[in-house]
Amino acid sequence: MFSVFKIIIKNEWLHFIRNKFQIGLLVGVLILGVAAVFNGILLVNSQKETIAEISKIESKEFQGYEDAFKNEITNQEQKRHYTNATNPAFAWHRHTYNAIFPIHDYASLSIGQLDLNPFYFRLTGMSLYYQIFENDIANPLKLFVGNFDLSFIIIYLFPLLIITFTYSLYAQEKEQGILPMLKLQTLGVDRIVISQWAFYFILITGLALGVTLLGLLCSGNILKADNQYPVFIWLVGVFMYCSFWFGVMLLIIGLKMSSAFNAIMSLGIWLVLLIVIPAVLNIWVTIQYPIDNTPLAAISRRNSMDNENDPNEAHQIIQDFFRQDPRYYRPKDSVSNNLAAKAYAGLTSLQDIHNTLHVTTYRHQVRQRDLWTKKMNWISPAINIQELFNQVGHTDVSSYQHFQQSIKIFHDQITAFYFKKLFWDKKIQQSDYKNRPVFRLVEGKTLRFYALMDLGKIVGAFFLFATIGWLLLKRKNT
Amino acid sequence: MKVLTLLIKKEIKIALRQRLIRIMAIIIVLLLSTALWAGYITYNQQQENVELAQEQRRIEWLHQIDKNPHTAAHYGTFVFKPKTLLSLFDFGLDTFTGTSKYLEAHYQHEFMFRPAQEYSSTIRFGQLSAALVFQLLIPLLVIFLSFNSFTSERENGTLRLLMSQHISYGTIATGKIAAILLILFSLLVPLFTVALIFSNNYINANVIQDLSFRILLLLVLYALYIVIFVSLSVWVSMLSKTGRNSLLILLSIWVFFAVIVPKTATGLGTQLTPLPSLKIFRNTIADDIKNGLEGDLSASERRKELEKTYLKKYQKDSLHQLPINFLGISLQAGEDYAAKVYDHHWQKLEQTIEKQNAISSWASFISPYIAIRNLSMALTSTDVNAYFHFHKHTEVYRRNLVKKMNMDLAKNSKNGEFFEYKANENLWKTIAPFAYTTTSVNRVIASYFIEIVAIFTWIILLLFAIYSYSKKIKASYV
Repeated sequence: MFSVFKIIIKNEWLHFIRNKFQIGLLVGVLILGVAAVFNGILLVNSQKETIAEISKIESKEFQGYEDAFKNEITNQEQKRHYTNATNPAFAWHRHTYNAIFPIHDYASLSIGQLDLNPFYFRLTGMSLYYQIFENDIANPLKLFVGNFDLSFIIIYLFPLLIITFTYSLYAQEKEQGILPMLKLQTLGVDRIVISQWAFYFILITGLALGVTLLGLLCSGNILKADNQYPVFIWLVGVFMYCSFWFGVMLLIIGLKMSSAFNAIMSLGIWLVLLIVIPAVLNIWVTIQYPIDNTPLAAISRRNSMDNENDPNEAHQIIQDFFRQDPRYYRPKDSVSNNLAAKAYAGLTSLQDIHNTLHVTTYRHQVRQRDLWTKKMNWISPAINIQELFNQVGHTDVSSYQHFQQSIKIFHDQITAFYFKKLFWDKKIQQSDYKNRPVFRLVEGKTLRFYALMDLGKIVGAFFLFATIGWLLLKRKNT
Repeated sequence: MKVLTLLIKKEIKIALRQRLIRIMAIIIVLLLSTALWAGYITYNQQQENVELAQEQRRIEWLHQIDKNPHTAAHYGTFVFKPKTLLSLFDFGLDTFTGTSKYLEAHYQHEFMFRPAQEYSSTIRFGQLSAALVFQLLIPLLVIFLSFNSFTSERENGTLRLLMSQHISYGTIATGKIAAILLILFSLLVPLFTVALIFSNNYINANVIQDLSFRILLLLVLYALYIVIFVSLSVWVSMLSKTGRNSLLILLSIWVFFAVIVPKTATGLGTQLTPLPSLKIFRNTIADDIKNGLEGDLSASERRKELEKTYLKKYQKDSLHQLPINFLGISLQAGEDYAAKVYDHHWQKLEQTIEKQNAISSWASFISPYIAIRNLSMALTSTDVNAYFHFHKHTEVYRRNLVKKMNMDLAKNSKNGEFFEYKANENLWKTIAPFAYTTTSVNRVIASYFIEIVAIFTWIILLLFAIYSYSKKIKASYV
């Protein structure tokens, strides 16, 4: 029995290497795969370069403040530097920090929403909402077309490769009149077809895994603790996704129709799963969960007191602020120093407090859309696997929402750092700079269970389709 | 002519008899109806939101309390990108360009809130729109209608029969192309005719210019696209030995046109001419404002020059003797110079985006889908140029607003005054409400010369290929 299998596989191999079109296709996809890996790496590297540059600018700025303590003040410029470094009345809105989204090593393989959302924010102690809604510069056409990354190659092109290589199994034998001869074999037509199918399964899935491994090796250290889980998900995910498509093809082959029918049917499924369903889901979610972001625009305004020279108004604002945030409370008669700065600081913080509800509601609406789409993922393994790749590379919506939550915490740390000095009439000391706020991403909940569930759905679909396909092949031959 | 009519009738009958074609046509009509319905709902939702928000911001501007005009310019106002009526047909880049913008003195803000940021990663698969149906699904219907137009005649032996009756190969090809075009135009023409009637009689579309002409051009555009795909499919069918081969080649071409070329061309464009990040862009502008563009004076030197000019103009010795508030003049001069620097850098940025997109435009010669996609977005005013145009319009509005505020400060207050002088509603009213209209269709067409040439090149080459192959076959039969 084994020797017969060996002969079938050997024949199929010979058939394959003689077919220049098929070899060309494989090589073409392989080249595109490698190009996609490096395209993703280049994109992420350019973001990392920006991050490095931004971090450098921030370090230089704060080094300048620290140096202001060391230098003797001999001119206006040095005096200005010293004031900026020591006086919280200026420092709270002039010192600029950066909240930078930590880009995962494997973000380059599935860029997801990374190019769509800003990956860093410049922050001062001023109103948070004035600073976090502006988008980074981007070419909208590029955003529309999407990224040429490894996930695109795996999700879009490998199913087409699988279809091209397997759609005519059995049908071709029938159309070329070889089927009656095959039926004479002791092995049975179903096993011969399964052997051919298995040959292409190993060949194409092996290629997909090879390209993926190359991508994983080029994008990061696969042994690094943070990377081990993504590496596992990528490899298992690619294997399962290819398996799913082979399952679909076995089912279509099992129907024993003409090769033209098989081609139309399989491409039809590809079209439905990769283009029609996602397109319909997107429009459906738009209607089901409408989001109006226009009210948020108004809260991103720079604002100040109605009359900056009116001490009564300033005191009123400061007292309102103390009621909302008692951490900085001082009796009314001890806030006269730097009154305008304190009132302005209080005002922007009050605005943030009042507007938090709008922002939370907006983010909740986005989250609802995301959750609904996640629930519907089972309809298309393509969406399912894309979401999974984005999750492990931290380029999905949830990861970005964690980033936004972290920014709020960071901004609170920035204001706390300066407001304690400002409202308590203290100068900023050189030693304070050692304890200045540093951005840290809040750890999100682990999604490993859901990721395995997502993979489970694909595995389930594969077994279902492959079993039906095999039974169909077997049944009609008996 | 009679023969041609008979051939066309025969082809239409055969096509309509095929169940697969009927099912596919029904699915396409259903998807098209859903897309138009969903497009209409989202258009209405978003347009209502935008109109309401714009009105609220206008009321807010008019009813702001009396304040120094420069402070009013700092608080600024917001503008919202209105939806064009045709965006319900083709969403274009609207999902990926921001929807609102904060306009204030000294800063040119980027757009906020790209609708795509409010979706999960699924948005990158695309949204169902009528344009998507026409650009991706109708070509598939064309392929299924025509892949065996010649191969089936050849396989059944009817081709030889037809030719033996002195019907030329060219006439057969013309008959087949005309029949398929008639079937598809029966889908296309009624839709656009209804749209034209509505656009002329019922719809008030004040955002978009030349609405009826645009609809007419869209009809012509999609008709040409169908001609390309029908000619291509018939030509491939002529060359192919079997229907299976023809189908496989055509489906591969479709994938190449619609999936591989657009992604790779855009990816290549982005890598060859990368964009700067917002922070770096802003820092460069800030540096150039401070130090002056090449050959210009620095900020402090410019200010000294300005002082000299005004003292000379009014023949005074000190700024305090001037009959105007020099602060307003100085602020406006700063705005003017900042605008000069911004325009210099924005032009570079625009050129970079144009270079990135030029690769896609030239790729129209490799994939007609790109030419149609770009032109369709342009005609519906949802393309990159519409984004640039809106951006420029908002910037002109911002500059006018800020200038009026600064000059009011200069003319109506004295040197040394700031909070002492307050403007009121009479000044706010002088700023006209924000209104936006797209560019004329002539300008749109002029920007897409490459795409237009590509479409006609495709048609001419394909018709020539069919003609020359028909002649060759005729010769071989003689």
